[in-house]
Amino acid sequence: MSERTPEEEKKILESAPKGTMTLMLILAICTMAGWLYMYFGMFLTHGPVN
Amino acid sequence: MHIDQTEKKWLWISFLMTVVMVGILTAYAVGSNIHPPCGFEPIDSTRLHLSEEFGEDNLGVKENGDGSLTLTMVAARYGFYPSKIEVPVDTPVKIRIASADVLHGVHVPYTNFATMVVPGYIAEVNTTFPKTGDFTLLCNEYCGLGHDHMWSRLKVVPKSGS
Repeated sequence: MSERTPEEEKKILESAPKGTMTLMLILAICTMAGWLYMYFGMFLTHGPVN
Repeated sequence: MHIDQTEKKWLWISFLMTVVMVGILTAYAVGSNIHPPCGFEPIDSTRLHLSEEFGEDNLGVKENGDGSLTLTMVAARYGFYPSKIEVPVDTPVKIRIASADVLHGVHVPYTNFATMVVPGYIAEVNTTFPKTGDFTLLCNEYCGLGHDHMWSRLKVVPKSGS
């Protein structure tokens, strides 16, 4: 296993974590899809209340 | 304060999601007049049986002139009266309930109908039942030792003539 140079380590530490944005977007899309299904698919189809 | 770029992006995503959810809720609440049951209509719980509206003979479903229905009910330890209710599907129903004794709650699972029934006040909810079937009307406020036996039947039937 090759040793990293101090420059390489600094570059890794300062860069954004790879794949984090993808995970965040997947989580956001799943949360929104779940919420929209609960509201439009479950709540509104059970009849209005006032 | 230093905030990482990724954290900043996530903060924006969370903020936008909240804005979308609250925006949809507000738009539908205002546009469709959806709001929690409210109103202030006092009634003497001790003389409920003597009142015209909540007298034993006047309980149940009545048809209004405009095709909608009014369901008048009494919640008392440990039952709902009348104990069997039948309403047509997709018909506006005004539900008026009064408690004859203590605090009760009414909830019909798989529908949006739920309200508290506070003694001394009439609880009024306007709703429609969009699906046919047999539903259970439950008390969801602890009202005494027989609370778990306090339930009745709600049958949503197809509209007559359809």
